[in-house]
Amino acid sequence: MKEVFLHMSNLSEKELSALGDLLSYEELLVKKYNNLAQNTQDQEIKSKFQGIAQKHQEHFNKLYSQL
Amino acid sequence: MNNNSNSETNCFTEKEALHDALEAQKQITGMFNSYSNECANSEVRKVMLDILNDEHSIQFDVFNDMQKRGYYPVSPAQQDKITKMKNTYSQQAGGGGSGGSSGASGNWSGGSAGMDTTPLHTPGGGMDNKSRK
Repeated sequence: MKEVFLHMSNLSEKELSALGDLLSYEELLVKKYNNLAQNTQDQEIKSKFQGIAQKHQEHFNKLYSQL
Repeated sequence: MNNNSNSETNCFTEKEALHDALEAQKQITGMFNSYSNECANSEVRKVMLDILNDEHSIQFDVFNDMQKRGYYPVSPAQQDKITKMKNTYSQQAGGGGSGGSSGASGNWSGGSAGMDTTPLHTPGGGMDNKSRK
């Protein structure tokens, strides 16, 4: 019985579900922006997209740390 | 993906790439906004709101880049329409300064008339105006 409580999370079901959706989308955005960067000739936009991909990875990490 | 030429029809132009990025940012800000409303845990909520703010910064950054390159022209709101809207809401606007419920002392017809003028357009027009370069 005690064990059950020890394993109870501070997260609600809704929060867990939301984190799942957000992790999934942030993961996609990292790939998307890296892809956009790869296919862009303009150096300024290319490095901008690379920077944004990095930011989305950071968002992913922050969300992941909430699990 | 398998070529480096912009002349290939499958490859995004710079404008299309930026547009794609802008749409993605609009999508993700919407998600963070919705989900932050569902939080019970204040720490999770704070993380979501912090990232929401960051996503908006990225969105604005991409938008400004588009505008800088002439990919996203915005037209300013017409002054006569701004004036008309100011007049529509002038009664309620006066109420804030004098404090409390005094703003409600006027009749309600002004308020209901305002509902017909789709107020959603003004904030958008105002922002576009400010960010115009």
